[in-house]
Amino acid sequence: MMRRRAFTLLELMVATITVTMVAGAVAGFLGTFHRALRLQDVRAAAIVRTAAVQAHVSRLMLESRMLLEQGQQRTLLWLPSEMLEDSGAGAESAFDLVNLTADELHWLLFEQESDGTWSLKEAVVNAATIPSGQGDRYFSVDADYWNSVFEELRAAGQLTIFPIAEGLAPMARDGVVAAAPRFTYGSASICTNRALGIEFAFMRERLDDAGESTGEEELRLDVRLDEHLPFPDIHPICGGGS
Amino acid sequence: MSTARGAFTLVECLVALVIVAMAAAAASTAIGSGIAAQEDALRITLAAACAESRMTQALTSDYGTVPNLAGHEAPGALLASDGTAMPGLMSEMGRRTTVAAEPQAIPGFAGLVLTGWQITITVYDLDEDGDERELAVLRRFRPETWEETQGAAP
Repeated sequence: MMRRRAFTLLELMVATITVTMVAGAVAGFLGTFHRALRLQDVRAAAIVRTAAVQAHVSRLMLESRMLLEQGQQRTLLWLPSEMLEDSGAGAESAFDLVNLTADELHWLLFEQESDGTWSLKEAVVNAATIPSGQGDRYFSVDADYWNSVFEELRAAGQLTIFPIAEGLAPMARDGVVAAAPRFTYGSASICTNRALGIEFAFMRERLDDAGESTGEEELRLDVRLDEHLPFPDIHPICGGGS
Repeated sequence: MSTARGAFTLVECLVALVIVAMAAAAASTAIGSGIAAQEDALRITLAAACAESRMTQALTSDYGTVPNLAGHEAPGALLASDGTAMPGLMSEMGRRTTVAAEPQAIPGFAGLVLTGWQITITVYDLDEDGDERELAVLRRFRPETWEETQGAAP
């Protein structure tokens, strides 16, 4: 009967070291693999969301005639329900009171969520919640007026707010990160402005093995979008007529 | 009857390791290619935004001033519509805008020719060798309206 010799200490040490090195290499590879897959997911989300924001805002701007409120985190687009040729300058036109009904108001707003990220949202008036005859608003070039309209409607639960893109962050320019995502405008006056700029970023922090944030940026994609009003209609109150 | 089982030989171990290494290398290459393709997709998405930004300017400016937008913005000099610098990856792109007076015949309407501007916007970046790599091209025709023909504001 053959007697089997035991492993020597040296053999065991070599085997242990070899197994450790192989295991380390495999673990490293799997970790890299996992991070790469996660980065791919994050990038794919950034691409899709950027395109989604651009498409959504482009459509709204195409149908809009004016930006009624020009805030850094909120802007109000007026999307008339009447046909283009039915509105415009003139006492008999649809601009008289402007017939600016509640369903013609579309707010775009950046709001910060409880986890610190920002969301770009659209708010529209839920017409079913407005009592008959109380939906019309007089036109105003006063931003405070539209601000109060928004706050009143929101407090009354008469706004339907839905997200366009979530998980956003403030944009960085030349290494300086802004305080918040924001809207910019071609002109400070709503009577002359035709341009809307949108500045935001996608930022994801690197996670450690336990899934906790390390505070380091894994991906930052700064985005600046420019949209223009292709069919502006300037209210006579602005002094120039349509 | 007892059967003595032999251990793996050194050659078997080496072959197994080589196979594992080849599989790992193939997976790494695939992931690397995927990331590179995504990086390109990201740049193309941003380039399209840069081109669209300029195009909306060209389509909404006063008709007579559209040719003023023609020109070349080199990488690092790309500006948003309000004159501020583009951020991040967008600032690494260059943009060419051409505006040409090209009358357009309308198919199905014999003799009907519209005057207007043919606007072409090309956005590119530079590869590792410094060569231009075209990312997005937008072409649109802006017809001259009757009011504009009469010299009135559009």
